[in-house]
Amino acid sequence: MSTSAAGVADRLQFPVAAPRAHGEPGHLVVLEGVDRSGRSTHARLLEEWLRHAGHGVIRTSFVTSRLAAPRIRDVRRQADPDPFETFLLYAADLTERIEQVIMPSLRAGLVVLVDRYAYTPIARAAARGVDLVWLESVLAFAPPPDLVCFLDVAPADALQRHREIAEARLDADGLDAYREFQEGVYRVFDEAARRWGFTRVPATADIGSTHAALDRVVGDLLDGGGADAAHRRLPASLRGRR
Amino acid sequence: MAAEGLDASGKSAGLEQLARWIERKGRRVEIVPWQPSRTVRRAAQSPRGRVWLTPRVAALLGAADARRLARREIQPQLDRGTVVLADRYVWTAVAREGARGLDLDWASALYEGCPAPDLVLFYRQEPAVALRRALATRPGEIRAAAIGSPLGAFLRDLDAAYRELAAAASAPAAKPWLVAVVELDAREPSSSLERRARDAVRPLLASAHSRNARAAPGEAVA
Repeated sequence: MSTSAAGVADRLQFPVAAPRAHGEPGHLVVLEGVDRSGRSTHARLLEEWLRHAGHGVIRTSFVTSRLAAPRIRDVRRQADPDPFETFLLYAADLTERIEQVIMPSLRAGLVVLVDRYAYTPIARAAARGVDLVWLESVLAFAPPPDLVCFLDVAPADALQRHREIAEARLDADGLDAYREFQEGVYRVFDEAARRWGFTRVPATADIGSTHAALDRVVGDLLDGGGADAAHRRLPASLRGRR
Repeated sequence: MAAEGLDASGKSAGLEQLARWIERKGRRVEIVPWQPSRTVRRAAQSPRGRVWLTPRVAALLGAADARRLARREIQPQLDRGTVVLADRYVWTAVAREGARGLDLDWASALYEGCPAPDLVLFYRQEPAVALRRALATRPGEIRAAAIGSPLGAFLRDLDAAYRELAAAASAPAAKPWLVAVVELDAREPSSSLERRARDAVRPLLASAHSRNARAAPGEAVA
């Protein structure tokens, strides 16, 4: 997969991150990264922080749709899941949330925080050998995000974070296969980061400094001055002391 | 080989005759009926499910279930050298997505993971006749397929989508695959239909193996 991601760049159809490209008043902010890169933790922190700063926020995460999620859990339990079937189900999961949650919230002017967007299913299937151009064409209708924060952690370091969990679940071969898969996913992200318009946020340091870095890039998008600026714009009665 | 077309167009009867003829030629043959997506059907039957089951979500769920069917029921038979006669196949699914208002190219691409047929037997029938038969034999299924749109209009759109797929099947950029098509009109005498189907199938039986010996196109590893 290492050459294909760069080689097909000209034919890609998936929309890259670009402010206001979806044409709605809200903001679509995506967090991506390999397993255990801290995505979900940071999505929750960011949600609280933005809300505190006076923004209307809604957060949506992977495999929480009503129709596709139960099927995805079934497939995950199988010994040898088919990357095609899995990808189509992930796409259905995302589509339901785009239609029911993401687009209505963008229309209403909210900040929509998405914990894993179209990039994760694309990268996972690509890491399993499915053609990247085909994968992108299936999800080409997805609204382009205003910002994609790529929590950049080397897969080996991310794996270290949950070594105990992984070891309890997988035998040595399973662990090797999992490591190799995560590295494949990381390679697709890493090579595609520029084309897909990712903003890299180094996420190897402690939670606090990663959060500060994220808050800065999200703040820049929302009001050019970070969450602090938004907070200063609140009426004095709501502002309180920080 | 895939038989596609509206209800009451003679697909099932035609396939039965064809299967017996292929058997007499000494080939193993299996008729595989198309199974509508269980995930979609379950959602369509629940009042809350219907809210979430938009055409695009239904298309993706349907394609996932179709890929599973193709991988488990069809590909192993092809690998054993059996002649598989699919009673409705990918066109049926894609035409349905088209009748629900989705782009045919987009819907077709979802099925690139299903084995490409060597031949499509396209059975033609008047939408009005097809509608009467569909209501008599599978009313629940056809209403679920239409997701709430008027059935008469839905069948006409379905017919238009089938014809568009047939017209595009021989173009180099055909989606999901470039495929030979033989059109069989239900108004023709059955003896002529049978003869034309055999004429189209005969050269395929002569060639040693189907094009499905190779991997599905979307699976090609870079």
